[in-house]
Amino acid sequence: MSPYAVIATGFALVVVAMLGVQLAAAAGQRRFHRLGEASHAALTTRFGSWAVLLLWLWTGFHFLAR
Amino acid sequence: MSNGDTSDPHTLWWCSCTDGTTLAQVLKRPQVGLRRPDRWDAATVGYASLAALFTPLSAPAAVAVLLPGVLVVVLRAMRPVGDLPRDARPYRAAAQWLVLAVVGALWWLVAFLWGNDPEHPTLSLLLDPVLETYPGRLLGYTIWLGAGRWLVTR
Repeated sequence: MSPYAVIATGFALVVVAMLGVQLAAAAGQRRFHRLGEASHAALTTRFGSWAVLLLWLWTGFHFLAR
Repeated sequence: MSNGDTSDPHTLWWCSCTDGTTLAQVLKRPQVGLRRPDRWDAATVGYASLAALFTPLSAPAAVAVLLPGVLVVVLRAMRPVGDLPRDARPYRAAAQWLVLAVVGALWWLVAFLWGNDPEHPTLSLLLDPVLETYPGRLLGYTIWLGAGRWLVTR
């Protein structure tokens, strides 16, 4: 297995895990929580609010404008 | 009202068969997941369709990200954050997603330290073939702007 395939598989697994948690939460599985619930919770604190906003800004610059 | 009687224009025959729910009641139910697009959705897609014209690594692309970025940060700072839903479990939710984010960041670091080249790509290098196309950037801007709107409206 090439390094490219190893790395791509790792990223794919992380994305699948995130989608799995999101879908399980949306389906009503109480052990799992939506990304929106976590983000909303973070917004209620000063540190969390800046962390979420900076992460969002960085995502935009890194993927769309860098 | 008997089953199948549609003399009341607000009664759905298939609802009145089970619990007598009226059309007005159905329409008042909170929608889960889907909602009707509004003018802000149109504005988001409109802006994204213009911003996606600019290729990455260009000044116009940086400005296209900076404008809504500053707007979202300013609006978020001016508006109070709404209350969490009553059944929310903020610490568990934050911990769950923090773990996923840390795992993703660590894997990103592995790729970066391993080479950060086409043979050992980070996530941004993997996505480059998609974001080099106009439809890919349109999708990227739409998702990013939608997330920004979501952050402002909490």
